[in-house]
Amino acid sequence: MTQRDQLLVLNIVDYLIASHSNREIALRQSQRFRQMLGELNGQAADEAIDGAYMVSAEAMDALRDENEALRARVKALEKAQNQLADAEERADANAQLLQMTVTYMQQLLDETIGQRDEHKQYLDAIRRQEGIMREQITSYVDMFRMTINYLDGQVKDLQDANRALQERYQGPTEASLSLASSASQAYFNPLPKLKALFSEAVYSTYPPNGSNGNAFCVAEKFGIIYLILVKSPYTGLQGETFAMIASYFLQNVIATQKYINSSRLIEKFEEFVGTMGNFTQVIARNEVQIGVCLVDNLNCEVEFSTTGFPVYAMQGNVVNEYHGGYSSVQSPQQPGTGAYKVKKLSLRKGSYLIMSSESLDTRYLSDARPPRTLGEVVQGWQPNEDKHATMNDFLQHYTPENGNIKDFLLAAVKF
Amino acid sequence: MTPEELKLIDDKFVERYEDANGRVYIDQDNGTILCELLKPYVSIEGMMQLLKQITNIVELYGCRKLVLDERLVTGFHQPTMEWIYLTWKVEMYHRYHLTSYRHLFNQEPWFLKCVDAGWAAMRKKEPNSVLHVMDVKSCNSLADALAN
Repeated sequence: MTQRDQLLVLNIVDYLIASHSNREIALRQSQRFRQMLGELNGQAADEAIDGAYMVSAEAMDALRDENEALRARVKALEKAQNQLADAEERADANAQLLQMTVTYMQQLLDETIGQRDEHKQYLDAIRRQEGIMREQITSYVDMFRMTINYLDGQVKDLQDANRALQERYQGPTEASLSLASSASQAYFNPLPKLKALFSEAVYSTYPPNGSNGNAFCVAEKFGIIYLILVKSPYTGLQGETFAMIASYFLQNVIATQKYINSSRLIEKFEEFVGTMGNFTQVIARNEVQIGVCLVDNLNCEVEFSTTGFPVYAMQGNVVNEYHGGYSSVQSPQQPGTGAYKVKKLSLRKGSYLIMSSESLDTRYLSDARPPRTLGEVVQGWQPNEDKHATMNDFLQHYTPENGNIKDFLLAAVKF
Repeated sequence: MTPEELKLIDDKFVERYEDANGRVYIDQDNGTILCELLKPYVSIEGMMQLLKQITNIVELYGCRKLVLDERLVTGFHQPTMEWIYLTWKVEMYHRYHLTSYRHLFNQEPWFLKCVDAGWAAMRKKEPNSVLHVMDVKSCNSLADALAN
């Protein structure tokens, strides 16, 4: 084969390899070129062509393999591309979701901030109000404290003024009271008269040196002995004055009347007290009580009327209690006062008639001695005992259990 | 305020200032300012604001009498009251010749005692203050306060 022929064969081979991957097409082409290679001797041409065909077949196989590989690569690429598209699609969806979430969170944040600002405004308003309330409460407290101090100062000033007044008038008041007590005891002391009229007489007062508003008077008219006890709530100078006036009045009435019974005497006293200026109002609040006994010493008979406290009669050591009518002396201004009951007692010789401004059941206490009632003391009287001394001893060591009892008067006579 | 008092204000006064704590009116013809307090307790800050307004009005119109309607008031801050009486009123006297004051107080007896206590404290604090010789009175009604 000439060089020219070889080149021709090579070109054919190149052409076959470059242009066709299809074996059939390559065969057809090889037949064509067989024609073209007609100039070549048959065997050389056939050998060239077979060689070219073998090369082209091998090239085609290689191309085929490469094609297959490329196809596989393309498939893989396509798959990867699909996967990428899916991933992109998912990523898009996630991005959208994320965006929505972000938007929602932003809205939430904006709302929260708005609420926070609103709450902050409320808080500020509440704090302002709290400040005002604190100021108000503090101001009120300070105002009340200032007023209390001011009023305490006024009270103290009044107390000082009161004390000064008391000190100024204490001396004369005590002197007046002392004078009144002395006059009352000197003039109105019933004990001598009682002892003159009865076989035995007891007269005790508490406190010992004053009547303290209670009065006991003794009068005699036509053989009738009047024993009158007046109990009043007055004390001090007022009490002494009242006692003196009451005693004087009663004795005067008895002296100027032919006969007056116990009830009528009480009514007269009632009218009199009702006219006594300052005492009228006090009578309306506090009770002035009176007991009147008309005693027939010879016959041991007693006619009595009382407005409150009872009279007692002791026979042996037995004490009996006898009550009268109405509970208080009322002023003439109050209608319906009426008469008081008149009661009669028949006693035996040796009996005691006892009049007491406080009940004989009144208990008395002592620091060093057992408690006793007034009645126990009276019941304990012995026949030849100095009962006056006994009563004085009792009154020195005992005081009433009831703190409201400031004074009392007891008079007893023996038939 | 009673209806009669409201009518009196309508006839004679013009409102110049109002806030939550009080109202200020002026009767230019008679040179009278009326300050009505609207709360049982007026805070220090509120009181200062009202006084500032009154000062402005006095400066502007040259009034001679101030009526303070405190009938709704039941409590006060004593140091502020002392400042008002012993400093502000004295300054108003010297600067603007505001000489007459009429107070309408709450008539509760306990509150009047508090007012007495406050006055006593002020007298004790500054016995020589010109306030004690100024024309300061307490009245029972608005008509009485305006007339006297």
